[in-house]
Amino acid sequence: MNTEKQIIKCIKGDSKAQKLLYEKYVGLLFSTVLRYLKNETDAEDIMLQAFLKIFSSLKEFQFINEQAFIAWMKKVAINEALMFKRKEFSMIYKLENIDEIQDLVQVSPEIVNERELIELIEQLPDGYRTVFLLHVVDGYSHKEIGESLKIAEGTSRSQFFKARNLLQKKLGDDYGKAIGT
Amino acid sequence: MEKQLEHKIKEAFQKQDESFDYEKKDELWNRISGHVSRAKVVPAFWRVEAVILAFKTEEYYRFTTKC
Repeated sequence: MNTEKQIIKCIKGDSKAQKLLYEKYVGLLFSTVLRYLKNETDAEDIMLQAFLKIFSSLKEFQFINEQAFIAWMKKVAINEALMFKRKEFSMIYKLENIDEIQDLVQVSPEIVNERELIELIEQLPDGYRTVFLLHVVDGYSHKEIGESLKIAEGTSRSQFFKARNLLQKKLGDDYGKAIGT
Repeated sequence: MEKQLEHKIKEAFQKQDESFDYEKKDELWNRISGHVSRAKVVPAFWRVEAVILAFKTEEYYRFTTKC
């Protein structure tokens, strides 16, 4: 069954189609949510809310192609995760000072593979990591980040540049290797 | 160079998302489907209530017009 037909069935309340849709995308969406929350139990609660929202909002979604549909579902899931973070860590997005962050593991000279890059991002302070992931991985503009996190656009930019500087510092001499040059 | 690093990071996370296997998918589905079916029951209940109310209103109307 193609995705568009599946969506139409879901809108009509077909629970089989809803389950198929869920099974097809749950891994992708869970992985997306988990990189913002880092806690499986919280991520499960967010996934529950996200899928309920997806099913109830499907009728408002205009299907263009599967990629756009995935992007839309990801946005719903990320927004749910960010709403949760805003409640739980209302002070987290204060400007963090690089000088205070000394507990990151120093990167070994061989750090060039993807797994290690992901681990390096995961070590970033929460505020930096969230803004960096939203901008680089999930394609949010700083304006959108500001609106989602209820922070100023400029704060989003500064958190992003600080995250980038910290990454470059950690990669050090291997920066060229890490980018594959 | 920064853009290349960011592109590599993006690709790394995308690959991770695409290959992620969520082990507790059945448990989570049970929670989701429970909520979805409860959400269906509530409007159904109010639809039945609306029909009953319509009958009662009609009966009352007939009764009052006879009197």
